[in-house]
Amino acid sequence: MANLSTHNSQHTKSEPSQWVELYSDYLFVYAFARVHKKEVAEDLVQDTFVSAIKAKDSFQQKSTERTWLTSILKNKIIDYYKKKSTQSEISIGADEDSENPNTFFETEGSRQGMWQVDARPGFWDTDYKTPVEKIEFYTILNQCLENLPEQWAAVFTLKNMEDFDAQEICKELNISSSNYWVIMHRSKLQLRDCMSKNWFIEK
Amino acid sequence: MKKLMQIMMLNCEQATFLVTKEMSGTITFSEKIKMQFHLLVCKYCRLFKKQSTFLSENINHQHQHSDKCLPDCKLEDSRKARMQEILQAELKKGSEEN
Repeated sequence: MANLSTHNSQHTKSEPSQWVELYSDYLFVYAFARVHKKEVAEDLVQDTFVSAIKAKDSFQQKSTERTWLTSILKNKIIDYYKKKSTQSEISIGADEDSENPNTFFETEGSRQGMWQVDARPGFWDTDYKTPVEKIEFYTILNQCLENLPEQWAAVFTLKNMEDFDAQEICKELNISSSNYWVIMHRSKLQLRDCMSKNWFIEK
Repeated sequence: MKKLMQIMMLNCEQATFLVTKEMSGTITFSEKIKMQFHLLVCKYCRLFKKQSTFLSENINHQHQHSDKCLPDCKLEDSRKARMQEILQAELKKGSEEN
């Protein structure tokens, strides 16, 4: 009996050759929810396994094997966004962003800074208190996230990933804190607008 | 009074910007007062706040519940098989090096 409890308190370690069978589905779903692109998620899972083989002696069975693999994957996701963020040449200046012009607020006149008429948030037929359970909702949500410019998606996703605060994200992606807030603001505006048009269909 | 109103009154762009900051937890007291004041009189920005919060909660919900995965979000058997091959090759490489 004593033996059994000792055994239970230790996390089991499987052979690397079993990893695909045991963990690939879980890791893929984890990655997909964060990178929103199937091929990218697949490659990240594969890279995770390869890195894990090289580092398998560092696994100390303090956590489960799945948690350990997930933490490797998490770093891969961060690296992916870091790379994307430095590659992307999109200007993120507050106003002179030609690729992503301000289409939400009036830019001149007495109504400057007020919602443009067709960008005003409208009624959503939903219960705000409970998460949506419909799978289709998440399909659209992922498409809307995928539509964000890459650097925005990087900031937005890292923020939504556990253990990250604004300062760390700025450091990881090498952006200033004022740019960080501009990106967060724009991302939220665009995401809300995209969901409105494609899921809720504002009335 | 008019001057006070001018100081207090944000436009919608500024108000939604502060809503974004508040959602991440880094808003100052005076920013919060100004934001609340604007939300009191602007139903569009109230909706923006409500709907953005709702979307954030649903994104978190998806991150925490892998079963919320989408129909097309599935690792195909052929891709798994390729992964297995690469993994085996890596293992072989590793054992040869040792």
